[in-house]
Amino acid sequence: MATLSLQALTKRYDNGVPAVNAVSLDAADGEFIVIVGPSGCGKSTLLRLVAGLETVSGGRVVIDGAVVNDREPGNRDIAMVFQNYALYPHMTVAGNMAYGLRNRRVPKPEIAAKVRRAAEILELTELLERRPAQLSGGQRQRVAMGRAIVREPKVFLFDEPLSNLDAKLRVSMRVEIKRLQRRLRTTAVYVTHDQVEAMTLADRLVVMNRGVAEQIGPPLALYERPATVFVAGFIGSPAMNLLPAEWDGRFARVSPHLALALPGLGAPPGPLTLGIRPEHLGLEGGAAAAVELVEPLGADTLVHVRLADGPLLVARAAAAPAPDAPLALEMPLARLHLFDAAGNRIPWEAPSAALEARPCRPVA
Amino acid sequence: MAVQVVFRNRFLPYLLVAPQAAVTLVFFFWPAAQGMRQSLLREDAFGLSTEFVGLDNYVEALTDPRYLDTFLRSVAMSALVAFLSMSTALLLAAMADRAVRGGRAYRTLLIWPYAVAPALAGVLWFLMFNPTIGVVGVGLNRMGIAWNPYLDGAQAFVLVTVAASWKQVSYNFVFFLAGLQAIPAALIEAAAIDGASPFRRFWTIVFPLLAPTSFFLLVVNVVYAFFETFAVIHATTQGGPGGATETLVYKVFNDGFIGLDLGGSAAQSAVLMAIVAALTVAQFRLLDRKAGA
Ligand SMILES: Nc1ncnc2c1ncn2[C@@H]1O[C@H](COP(=O)(O)OP(=O)(O)O)[C@@H](O)[C@H]1O
Ligand SMILES: [Mg+2]
Repeated sequence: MATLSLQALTKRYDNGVPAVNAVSLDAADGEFIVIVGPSGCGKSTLLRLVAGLETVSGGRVVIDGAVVNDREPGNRDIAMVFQNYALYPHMTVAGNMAYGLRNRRVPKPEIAAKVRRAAEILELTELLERRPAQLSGGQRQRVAMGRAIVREPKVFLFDEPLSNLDAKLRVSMRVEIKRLQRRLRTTAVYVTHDQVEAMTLADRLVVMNRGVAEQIGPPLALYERPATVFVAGFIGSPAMNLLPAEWDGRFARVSPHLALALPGLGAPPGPLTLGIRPEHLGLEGGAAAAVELVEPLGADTLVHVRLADGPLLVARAAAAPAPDAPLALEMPLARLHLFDAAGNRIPWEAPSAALEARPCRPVA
Repeated sequence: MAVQVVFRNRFLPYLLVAPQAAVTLVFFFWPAAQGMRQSLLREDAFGLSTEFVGLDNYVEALTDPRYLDTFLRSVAMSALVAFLSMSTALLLAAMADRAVRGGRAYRTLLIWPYAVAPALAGVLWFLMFNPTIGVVGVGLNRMGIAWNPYLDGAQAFVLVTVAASWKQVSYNFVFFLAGLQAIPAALIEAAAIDGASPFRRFWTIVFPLLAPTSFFLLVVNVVYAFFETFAVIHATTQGGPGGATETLVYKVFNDGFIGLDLGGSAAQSAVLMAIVAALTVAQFRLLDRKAGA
């Protein structure tokens, strides 16, 4: 039970490039924070800074109101689940779970009771005397979880804990982790590059890119109002359609044949990016387009369409369009996301008058 | 998994093995057999007559109180060499494993002593500790410590042991460093998060994981101390003063080539061979069990 606060946390490795750059975050007691981003964006480094496995170059890590920058990992009252589990190969499952308690001189009967209870929660009771080498991947994962929960730490840290499991096991372990965290009400920071994992687990999501926290917020808020082009492209699968366009003060020109009127947009003329999610693209009425590829997924269908002389877009449709039939692409203005040349969101509400007008029109 | 090779020609495999087999035969089995034969014979001092005496040589060698002394001295020296060289090597390897800057140079320097021949290693140490011209030896005497390994048996024993250990540190260092680097960093980090002090991490995580390496090195070091210290001893004390540095191997040489008791010397070397064989078997047994677990 604790809060976790990161204040302008920065880490520079020897090469001088900041792997984590002024990340600030306040996690409430019991909150499940997920850090998501592409490989190499600094997620693990951030987690290791919190754990005390890396020295901080700037900023502060505050756990439960106390600055822990200079505390050893063992004195921060955190527990970490590593990607490859890092179980002690020469100890039994019970020994692995008891190790942290033994180091803290917890009385033996108490250790036994705690290990037993953790084993029950994780259904490891039968395996307590086995060694890690005698366990399956999923079982090792549970032992790693058991080692974390048995100590009842203030904060759980997870570094891509599911990425070594097969797809099916990953889904069930994901559910289990969420359930466990709900039950124990322990503040958790979970690192992943998998955005489905991120969306499903998080109370709040931190999207990282090149060491910077691009946006922090509830998963759906990020989905609905991404603050940057990066977040827009990273969250959601299939990814949001992002169209480079030239804004002249009245129209955003996407291709020689297509321009969109964006009434009420006060941005100075120049390049901008239009974003629209696949499920918001309509296939009736609008700009002429040709089907390039159809991917039926069962519940719905992904249709890859190319605007005349223009970019390729993905639409999520209820049914596949008839092959070779001419297609018209509809982009509802209210669903449009606008980003400036630097990639930041341009606040813009499509005026209701524009919504009634034909939103998307070919230009001669 | 072993690769099964099929030869068309029935004789080709034998032909391919022949050179290796010939070398082993000529340089190992033949002399060993000669030695065994010799150990059952007695020859007069001038080599004029030879008679078969059965196990007399063995009985004589093993019941000689000097033999027992030498045996105990060899065991003590092996234990000391193994302990000194392995603990020093482990300490250095643990430090090299952590060293980030200049780690490579540090490692290279530490491996160099292994390239020094045992005889030279011995001479080097005795020169340093020479009571009249050695830097350390003169210093010790100036400090009021009566130091003269050429007269004091205990001092000679210590010096031989230290020289032999020094040379073996490099070898152990390489194996320990490789063993340490094979331990995933995440294990140590997990232990740190689990609240283990660096010392405790070493004893409860690193050391147990190094056990197979340590056992292998223990056998290698004991065998080394039993046999290869010969060169160190021969180049420095020649077993003296007063037999204080005479080990089993040196006694074999002394009795055979100086004392010209070839039969007794051969019997002693047969015993040595049995000791090595036993050590090797023990090592294979234990390594097998480890691999099977
Ligand atoms: N020990 C290190 N020394 C130097 N650079 C490092 C070190 N660890 C990570 N980096 C660099 O820091 C950046 C972030 O790495 P990391 O936090 O592991 O990314 P992620 O976990 O998001 O994949 C990468 O560019 C990586 O190369
Ligand atoms: Mg990582």
